[in-house]
Amino acid sequence: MNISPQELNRRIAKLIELNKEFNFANQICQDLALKQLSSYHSPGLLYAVKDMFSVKNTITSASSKILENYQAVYDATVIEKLNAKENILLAKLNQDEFAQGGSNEYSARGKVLNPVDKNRIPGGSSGGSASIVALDLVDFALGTDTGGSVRNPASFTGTIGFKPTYGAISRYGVLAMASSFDTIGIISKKIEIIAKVFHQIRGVDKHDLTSINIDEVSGPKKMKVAVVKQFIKNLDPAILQKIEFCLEKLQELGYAIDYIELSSLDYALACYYILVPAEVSSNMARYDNLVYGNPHSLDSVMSTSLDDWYLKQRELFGDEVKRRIGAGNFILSSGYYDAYYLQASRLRRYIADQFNSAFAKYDFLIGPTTPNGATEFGNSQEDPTKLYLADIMTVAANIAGLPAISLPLLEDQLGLPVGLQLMTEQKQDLYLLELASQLMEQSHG
Amino acid sequence: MSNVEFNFALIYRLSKLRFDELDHANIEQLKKIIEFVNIALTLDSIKDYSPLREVNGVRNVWREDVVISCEIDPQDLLASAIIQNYYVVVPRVI
Repeated sequence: MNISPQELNRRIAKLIELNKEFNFANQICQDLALKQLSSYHSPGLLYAVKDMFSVKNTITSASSKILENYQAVYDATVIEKLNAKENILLAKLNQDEFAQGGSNEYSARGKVLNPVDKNRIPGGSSGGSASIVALDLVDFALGTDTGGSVRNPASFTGTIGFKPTYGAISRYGVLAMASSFDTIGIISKKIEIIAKVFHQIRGVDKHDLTSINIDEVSGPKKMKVAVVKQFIKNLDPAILQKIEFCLEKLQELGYAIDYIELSSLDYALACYYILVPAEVSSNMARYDNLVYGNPHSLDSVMSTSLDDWYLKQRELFGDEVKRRIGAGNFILSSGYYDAYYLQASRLRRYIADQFNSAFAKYDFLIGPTTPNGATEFGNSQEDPTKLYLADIMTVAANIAGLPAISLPLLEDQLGLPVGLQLMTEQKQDLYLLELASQLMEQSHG
Repeated sequence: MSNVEFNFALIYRLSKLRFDELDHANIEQLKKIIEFVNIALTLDSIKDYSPLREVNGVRNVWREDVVISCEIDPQDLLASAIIQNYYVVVPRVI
């Protein structure tokens, strides 16, 4: 890409202007971007990252008050890799606090608005990432996907959201939410950009012992796709009609279509909302404002007891984070661990096994990414579990560590964008991207 | 498990979060989350399944037991803590 400092400044000025309206960014990295541009020989793409990613000497807040002033002291592995390929970082993005939420209403930095309709949620938790891409301000944005946090906002904003196999991209330097589910994801409007960025940032990292290499060539193709029946049950007829159109396109590409029921998925949300809060409560235990976070004075530390300090500092967490910490500690507490945590870990095996059996017969599983288009703000305030229901189609991929992608090919009865989700077996990410690319082309052709 | 006894004071204590008995909204929402996941407890047919914890099969990654120097300056790592004589200062424990 050929970009002059003047052009970059112009792009950043536009970003600053639109951020006043949509609130997608926590921080705009103008100085860093110009510095990067001046040091690069052949600048790559313009990008932005969710505020979960550590970027040296910049605030990394996770949209939480507890990390409001935390300056990262090193670059996450993905940032290092993107820098090495001379991509230019423009902004750190707004999100649900610590990636916990699906609407971007749970951010200490205020809600992000959806460019499709400003009265509606952009989805979450990577709402800032989806919003900035939808507005064409960057070529791509990174998010994190623990239960759909990249695919869900992609679905609601008409963008593409890709969640790779668990471990395909290093999590080193990315704040943790639920470590056995957390996956780095990419949002863009172009599938070829996603493929390019994925190539730049994937692979084993000595700093992340859960990282793996994916298969560089796809296995034998079965040329069969299955629609997951549970995902289309009671679905908005407008969405269903669009799915049928996509199925026709898949047939034109030579794929046979089948319908299957995965009975274990009826338990997927419960499995997810047991294991994730359990991991959240452990990961959030480190935030006490003693080692990192808000600067404080020696006097304030000395004038209190350790217990009082914890209680006072952890008041800074938002309500949804507190609820999940509470749920997690309940689930892990003596007397309930076996009934909840152990049972959910067995459910996880049950769900993963059913997926494996399905992938012995089919290359891909298909359904909508979300059961509807973006809802209006304020729909889930009284009962958080209402919002959890929106995750029903996305959590399964995280439970089983599968790669999945949301493509902007569907529409609900209100005309709002909805994603079409394709899932495949672990490590077959490149085959997934290949089909996604063909399907996008075939559908628009 | 449908009639789980919630001891919210204990849950909050374990969570190191301030418990306010008057905060009915938050307590009700927490109850709703637990009730929401109770369906998981009803499936008896999976009791012989082994728990799945390492979802991509990577388990117990070992390395040589040798000292590796930190790539990050320890001074930087401690930059937002209060430090005295290389120790992090914490509030009184006893």
